[in-house]
Amino acid sequence: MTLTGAGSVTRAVARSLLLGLTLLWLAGVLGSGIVLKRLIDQKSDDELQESGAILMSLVSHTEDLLITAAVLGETKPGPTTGTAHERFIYQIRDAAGGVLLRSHNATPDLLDVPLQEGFVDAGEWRVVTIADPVNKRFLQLADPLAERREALVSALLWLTVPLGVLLAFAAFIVFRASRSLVQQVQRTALAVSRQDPQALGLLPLDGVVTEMRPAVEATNRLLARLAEALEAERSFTYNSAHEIRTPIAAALAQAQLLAANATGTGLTDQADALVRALARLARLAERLLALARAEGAQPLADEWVDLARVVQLTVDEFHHNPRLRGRRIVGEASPARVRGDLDAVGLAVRNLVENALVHGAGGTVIRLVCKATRDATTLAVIDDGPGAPGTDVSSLTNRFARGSGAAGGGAGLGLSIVDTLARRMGAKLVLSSPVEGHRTGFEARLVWNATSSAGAVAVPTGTSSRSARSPDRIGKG
Amino acid sequence: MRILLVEDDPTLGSAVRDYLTRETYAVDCVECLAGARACLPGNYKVVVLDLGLPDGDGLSLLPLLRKEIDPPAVLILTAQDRLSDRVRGLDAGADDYLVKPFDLPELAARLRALVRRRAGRRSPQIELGALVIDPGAHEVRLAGTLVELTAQEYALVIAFAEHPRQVLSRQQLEDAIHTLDQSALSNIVEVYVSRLRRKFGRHSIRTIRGFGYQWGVAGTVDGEDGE
Repeated sequence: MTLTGAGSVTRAVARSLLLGLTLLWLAGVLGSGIVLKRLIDQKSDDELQESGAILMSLVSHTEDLLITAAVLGETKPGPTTGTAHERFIYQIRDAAGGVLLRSHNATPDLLDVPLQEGFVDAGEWRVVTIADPVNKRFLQLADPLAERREALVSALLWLTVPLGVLLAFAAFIVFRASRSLVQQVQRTALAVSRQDPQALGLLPLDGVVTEMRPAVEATNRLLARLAEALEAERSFTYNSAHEIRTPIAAALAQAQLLAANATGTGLTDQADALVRALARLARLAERLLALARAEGAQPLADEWVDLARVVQLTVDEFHHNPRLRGRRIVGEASPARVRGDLDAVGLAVRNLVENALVHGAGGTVIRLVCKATRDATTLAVIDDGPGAPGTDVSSLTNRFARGSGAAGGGAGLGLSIVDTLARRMGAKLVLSSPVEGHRTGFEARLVWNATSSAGAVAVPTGTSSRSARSPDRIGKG
Repeated sequence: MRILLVEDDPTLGSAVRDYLTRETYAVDCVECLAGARACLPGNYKVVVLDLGLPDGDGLSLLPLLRKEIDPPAVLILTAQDRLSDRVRGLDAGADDYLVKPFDLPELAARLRALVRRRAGRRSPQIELGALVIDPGAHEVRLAGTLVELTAQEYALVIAFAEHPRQVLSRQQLEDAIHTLDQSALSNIVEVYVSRLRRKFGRHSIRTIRGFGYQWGVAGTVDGEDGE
């Protein structure tokens, strides 16, 4: 998990929680609004009813005025409701519906509602009708519905406004909490990503949250199992190499001793044939061991490898080899180093030299050349043998592939092994035949691109006094 | 020339010992570190050392070898083929490193190169006055004429050639040939010195009374021989 990913998880958690909280809050506000409206209506109706009763009693004291008004056939403005804002309007009507008295702010058509006791909505008004059976009059009192709406809106507003503050506060709390939790996961993820493939240590359990602990413990069990498997493979590869090489060496040495002692006897040919067969067996075993190592799951080291020293050691290894058959092996080493695995580089170069020994027969020299440029670092094994005429050299990296003009003795595994090792090291194997500028020869070049991968950073060796323009020649067969 | 071979595989060890003996080396062969320590101090020119020995890592013998008055060259002969193993061995002080399986002629060539390097010679041939020795071909020529020598005689000539102008003790000369001739002759050195004088001339080997023998002027038959 990357840091960006962790951040997005935090935001996603915060967003979900806040959205849920908002929806829940709004649902609460809606429910509250419904209940509140009912309560406001109930309270206002009670108040209206009570005010109507009071007003009815007041009207009974103005009976003369009402009678006079009835005689005159006029409606008179009655006494005000006495409220500061004159919320109420009213009218007194007789049984026939005629208006006997009305408040000064009531228009004639405003309260055109039936003379029936109870509440009714009329336009923007809530009207209560109260009957006076003694005087056969009806009082109709109304208050504005807008006022009720204002009260409801105001109440809802006071419920909603704090939500903003609450959401901001909740967002902060949620972000902090989720970030803290994600950081726990992130620490575990970082511990996994920083695992040294060479060591495969267990993940630390300190500071791991309870929910993550089973996952970390399970990962540790897997890592321990993986480490055991890798160690078993490494041990098998290493020990089997030792166990196989020694008896082959013993058989080959005894055969060579026999051949030496048989010189001049009739057994010379048989002894020499035995030596050749055992030598071929030895080379095949070496190839198979190398193949097992190249294709094994063992992680490769990521360390600085001095290619000049690899060249020198490889020349030293081969410069007495009888299979040179008169050829020389020389090193031309300029300061060059790459990030990689010393043993893997050594195995690759050794296989390239073995390839040159087998297929470069007839040549005079095998050259090991390493150098570093701004773009790449290379280590090449070049022979001046016949090369691989008429062969697609790129196909030579296929397992058991041999060039069309290849001499016998090769297992067809060497270049495949080197190609596998090169890819594992972040390098590439480049083959060419004939050698550039020549009519024959074969060149196998390991190339570490300076920018292609982290495992193949190539820089000149800073501490060496050797000049890159004048490579040192090493050894001679 | 005496060589100590430390190799725990008896089949391989016997083949190497016998082959090197054919090459006129005097070889002591042991199969473990304890056996090697028991052989020291010894007048070995080269130690051929396996690494994976039953009683420990062969490299642990190197400090002991360095304490010798004339420390022998060390050639590691091992199945450990990784480049890091080679680096470890050479960095520990070994002079050469050969991985099993190997060719016996290659081992012999490497031993000759080691001896040549120790003697500070660049040429594979040894020149001792009119005497020219080609260790690779086991040929000895006196003024251009090939001289036929037995293995024991050749070993003595090499011993003198490796120490020009030095007086070699009787023990040193016995060490040079002791595994080549297991006879119980008490005067074996005198026998072979006498044979060499017949082939190279009376003055070829001088006897230094109380000390030993010194290579003199080969190719002359007249005059005092110092005896």
